[in-house]
Amino acid sequence: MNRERLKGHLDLLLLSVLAAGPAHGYVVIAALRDRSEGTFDLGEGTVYPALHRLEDAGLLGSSWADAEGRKRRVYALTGKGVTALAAERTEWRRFASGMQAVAGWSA
Amino acid sequence: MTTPGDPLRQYLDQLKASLRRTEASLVLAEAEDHLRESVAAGLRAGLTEFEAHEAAISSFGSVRAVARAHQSRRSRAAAALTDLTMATWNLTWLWLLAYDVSTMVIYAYLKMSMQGSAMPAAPSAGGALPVVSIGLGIAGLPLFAGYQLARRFQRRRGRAVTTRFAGFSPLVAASIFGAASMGLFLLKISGAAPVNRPLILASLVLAAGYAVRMRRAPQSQGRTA
Repeated sequence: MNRERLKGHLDLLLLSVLAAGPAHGYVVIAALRDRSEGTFDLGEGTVYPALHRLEDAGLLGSSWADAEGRKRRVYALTGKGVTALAAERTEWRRFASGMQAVAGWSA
Repeated sequence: MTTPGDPLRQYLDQLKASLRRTEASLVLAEAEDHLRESVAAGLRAGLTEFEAHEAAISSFGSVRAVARAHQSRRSRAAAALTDLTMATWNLTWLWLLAYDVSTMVIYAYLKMSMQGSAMPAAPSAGGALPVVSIGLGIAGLPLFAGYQLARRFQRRRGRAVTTRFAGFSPLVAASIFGAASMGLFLLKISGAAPVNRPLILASLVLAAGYAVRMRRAPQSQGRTA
């Protein structure tokens, strides 16, 4: 999938993955790839700034943990993030429904 | 663990050199954790150590792409300050050059009208060459060149130029130049202070120009949204 097109929906995708529970970057990115069956295969290093931006906006919180002798940053949805995710999902459903009605396949 | 010939360490060192110091340590710690985990996953999938390192780095992205992604996430305060500086810089060179050009136009007009008239000209009306105006115009040229270079540098670094003030700047500029032209005009007709006409004309032209841009800005933003 076109990466530029995907970037417009990255916030929703990241919030959706983290709705399942706290996770560190590698797990979030792997979940994005696996759950989309390889469709959403972003440059992994470019996803982290998006996570940081969501944290700056107060939608995610993060904490550092030790893992195998390394520092690991774990992200989790905040209350504000849960609300934003619900709003983003509603918006996406409306958008997808409109796209389907205009450009989608119909029986 | 890292070894002297560790390709991940080499990659992280290059990345470190491309990041701002304030954010480098946290970004690098996170990147290293990701890359080590990615290598471990590659080894579990049956790749050789060399292949696992190559695959991990390739999936993570080039140093340039990663650094650029982090640079574009500047703090809001830094972005606002940069945009404000660029907007001020832009207005300054524009005003200096506009003042110079309008002075020269009026000077040339008065010179021509004096040639066709037997009336003696006032000392300030097309007599001596407007040295101050020329000096300001010359000062505006390096400012203009510097501004263009700064914009090019920002684009190369992947930073948007004056996005935050894209709609704000024309409004402020039109207001400032509009108010300046009115104030100068009032000073001129009241005789309270000696104000030359090019100054009023330059301010008026700039106010009109920015008023046009102000009207166009929402339309162009709508098209690109």
